[in-house]
Amino acid sequence: MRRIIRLPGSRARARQDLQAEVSFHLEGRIEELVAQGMSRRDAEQEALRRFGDRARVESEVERIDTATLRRARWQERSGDALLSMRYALRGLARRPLYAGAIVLTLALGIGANAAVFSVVHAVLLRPFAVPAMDRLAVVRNDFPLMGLRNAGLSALEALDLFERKDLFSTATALSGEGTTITIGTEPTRTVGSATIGAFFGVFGVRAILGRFYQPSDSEVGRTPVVVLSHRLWVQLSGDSAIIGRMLVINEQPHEIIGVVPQDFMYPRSALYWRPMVLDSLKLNQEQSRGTLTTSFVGRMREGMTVDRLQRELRALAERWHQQYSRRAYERGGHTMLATAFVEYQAGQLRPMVIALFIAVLLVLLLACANVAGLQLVRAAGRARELAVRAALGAGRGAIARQLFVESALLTLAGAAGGVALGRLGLTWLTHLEVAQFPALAGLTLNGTVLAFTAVIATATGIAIGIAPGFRAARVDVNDALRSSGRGASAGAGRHRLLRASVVVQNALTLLLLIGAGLTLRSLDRLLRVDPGFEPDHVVSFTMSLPPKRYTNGEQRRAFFNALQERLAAVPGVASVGFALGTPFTGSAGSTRYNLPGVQQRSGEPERHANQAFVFGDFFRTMGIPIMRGRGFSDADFSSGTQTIVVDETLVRQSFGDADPIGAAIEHGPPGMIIGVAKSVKLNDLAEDAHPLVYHNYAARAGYIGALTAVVRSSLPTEQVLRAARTAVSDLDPALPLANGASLSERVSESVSVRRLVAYVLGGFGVLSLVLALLGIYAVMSHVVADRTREIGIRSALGAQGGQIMRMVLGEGLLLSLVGLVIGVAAFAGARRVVEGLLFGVGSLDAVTLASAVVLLGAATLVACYVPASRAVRVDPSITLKGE
Amino acid sequence: MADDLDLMRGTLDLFVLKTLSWKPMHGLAVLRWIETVTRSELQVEEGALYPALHRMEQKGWLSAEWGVTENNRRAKFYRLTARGRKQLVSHLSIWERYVSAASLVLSAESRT
Repeated sequence: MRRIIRLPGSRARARQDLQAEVSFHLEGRIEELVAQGMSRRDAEQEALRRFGDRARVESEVERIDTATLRRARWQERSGDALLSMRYALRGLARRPLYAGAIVLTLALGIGANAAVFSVVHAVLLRPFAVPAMDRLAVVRNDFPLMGLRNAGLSALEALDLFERKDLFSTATALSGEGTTITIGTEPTRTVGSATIGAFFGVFGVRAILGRFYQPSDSEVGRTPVVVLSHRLWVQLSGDSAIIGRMLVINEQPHEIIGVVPQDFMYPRSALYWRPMVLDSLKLNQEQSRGTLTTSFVGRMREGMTVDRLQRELRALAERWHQQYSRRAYERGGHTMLATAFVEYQAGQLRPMVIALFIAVLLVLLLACANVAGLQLVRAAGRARELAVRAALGAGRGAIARQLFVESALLTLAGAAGGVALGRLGLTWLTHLEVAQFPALAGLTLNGTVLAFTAVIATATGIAIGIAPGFRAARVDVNDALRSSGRGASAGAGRHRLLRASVVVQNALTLLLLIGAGLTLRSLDRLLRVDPGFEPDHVVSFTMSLPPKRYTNGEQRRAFFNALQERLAAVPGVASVGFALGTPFTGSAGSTRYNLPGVQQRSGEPERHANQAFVFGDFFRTMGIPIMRGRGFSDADFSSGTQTIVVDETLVRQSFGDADPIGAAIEHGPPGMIIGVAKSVKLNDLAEDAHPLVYHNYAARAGYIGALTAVVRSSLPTEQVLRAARTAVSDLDPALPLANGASLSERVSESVSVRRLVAYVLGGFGVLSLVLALLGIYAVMSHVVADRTREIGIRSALGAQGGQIMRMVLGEGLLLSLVGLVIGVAAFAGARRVVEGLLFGVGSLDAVTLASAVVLLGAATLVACYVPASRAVRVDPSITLKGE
Repeated sequence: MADDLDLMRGTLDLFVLKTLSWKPMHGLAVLRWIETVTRSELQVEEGALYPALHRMEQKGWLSAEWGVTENNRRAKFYRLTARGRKQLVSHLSIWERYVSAASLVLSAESRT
């Protein structure tokens, strides 16, 4: 039997085959039957009858055959693909350094981006999940003439706004509180939130356990209730038995009625929420209208926009000015401001967020430009190989496919590396800053970001990978094979894309370096700001005396006196003081002041000052010098007179050159100025100066039970705090200390966001420099190698080594220069972006710009040095002989 | 002719595999072989044969090639593959177990 091999390659052929097969069968049967004596016609019929329904059989077999064909084709294709991949890997392995550089660049670009994006997203953008967040609006009071911006609302004002159902479908106001809660037997200082209105309704939160409070929970006679944050719940018990148990807050039992979900954190630091206790007596006082202690957030009703809300609020403010007495709204230029909640949250961080986003984009672009350059170099080096393949009959499609697979492999490897690096980077970043930003704990890479950057970088890599393939296929094969160099194109237009890529990389790197330089300098300037006091060697902690056990001023003063004695007796402690309103440990609020004997000067801003209440050796401990007059004395503290120390800012604003000592001042109740202290920064090193008035705590001990203690000593912080805890518990075992920290830590905390931004941008600057170095080196190496013949000729014609070196270096520097110029121009045009970040540094800061240029120029020189020296070593005799 | 015995699909596969274990044949030859060996006791439904052959080819039990018969006609020849041979062995053992189990049922004395 002879065999004829014929594989069906298509459905049509398969059908043909089948017909032939069946026909053969039938013919065979017919012959048999005829041989047995039947007539041809009868035989045909009989054969068909025995065969069965021919059409049905054929269609069934066809079905089977189609399935077989499909499977065979698929196997063939996957076999092809595997083969392509093997070829691709071999192709990559021939120039492993370039391949490695591409993968590394992509990984760095993608990874850095993903990590930073995730952090920015978590910290600055969406700190917690709330449905339809864009319907929420924040309302604030604004007294521009007094320099009082971004102020809260008073409870009374909030209540008035609640009534405006035409503006808000639901609304709430909340006030942060520092309280002492008792967990088991341990009293601990915590931060919570007291709310009025429909707090949970506004944020659309659902309780994961229990329920939230309603107005009926606040009725007289009922046990006060509290809702726990997820964190506190886990700390307390983590199980459902928590509902109904009591939580003691400021020595008052509250019934735990509910727990919020893990991702709800507003305000971020609040461990619990409870209904605000509104003392109706106090409320009715006119003064209460001016006590701006709550933050108002409302869910705008359907159809309401922030702009319309703003207009309505302005009108409402006017009506209030008419209705209510002058004390609350007089002068100050009062108005109410409405802002979208999301915008408000991002707030002053907005310029930082924008800057970080742009930096991230620049790094990505840089990585892409870098990869493009490297791909072009790789491709140029293979023009010959590809020409040979084309000569051997490889179709354009096949070559393109191989290049595509190579590029795909590279970029996928880069993306995978990016994920790994991104995770690493994220871990590093979160470790750095998690203390400042609890939202960073347990943060994982943001999926969308990762996908986005991976897609962009990958697409670029692949696109650049295929282009050379098309170019190569068009090349005259003979030409490419004959030429001694490796270039596929000829003449001056050579390397144009490569040069462009170098220029682009330089420009982008310069931008990133400038950005990094400016923010780092700003950080440095900020940290050098004189806070007005000496934070080193000072430890602070807070105590809150429960009103039940410390019912009047004498008891409180007695406590603080005793505590001061004990602490001062500890060896190593130099001095001890107390205050409400200590710099960088929370504010004591602000209010207007009057100077009965002193006329308002022309150009003087509204008389409004921050307040602080001082006890003990506060000024000396803090290192705040008294410039004129005296500080508080023991006599002041024991007699409780309304003596007042003002700061230089107030004197400068209201007194000018006149002597303030002995003047009467009304900052709240009337008192007399006995001294002038140097101005201090209260909350932020970058803040503008605002008058500060120090009061004698002893005069107000009846109203104030919480003070921050400051201790100056040569001892380490932990030791001081231990001594303090001992001293406090000796006096009162049930009284906890809170917020124990060194003051210098506090000050540094206040710049934490800026620092994060500066470090990230600094990191990007370094990254971009490394990438640029790599990129320039690769390109220049290639350019030199390409021009070996030309260099050989020059050398043979008498060019010295130095001249050749200068030629190569010169070319590299020229490209750099063009890039730098473009970069500087771009920066100058876009500098507004950075301005919001800067402190004490102009956006066109000469030092920064110059350093960035010099740094980049030096890097270029370094990157070009090796290729240049290689060029010098080219032996003219070898190159002239040809290949 | 004897009564036609209906053959189930699985057993058809088994018979074809066994038949082809002797040597490669085309479809008509397989039929004739079975007829000859069983002395026409078994009549295979001819229409069922070709789907069975193609199916087994798809599964890799058979390989098919176009060849030329002694009469110089073009025909599609099927041969048993190594996998097909393994299938044959396992099918056979299943068949034997089935048959012995069936005979146990059929020869059992009824218990009352």
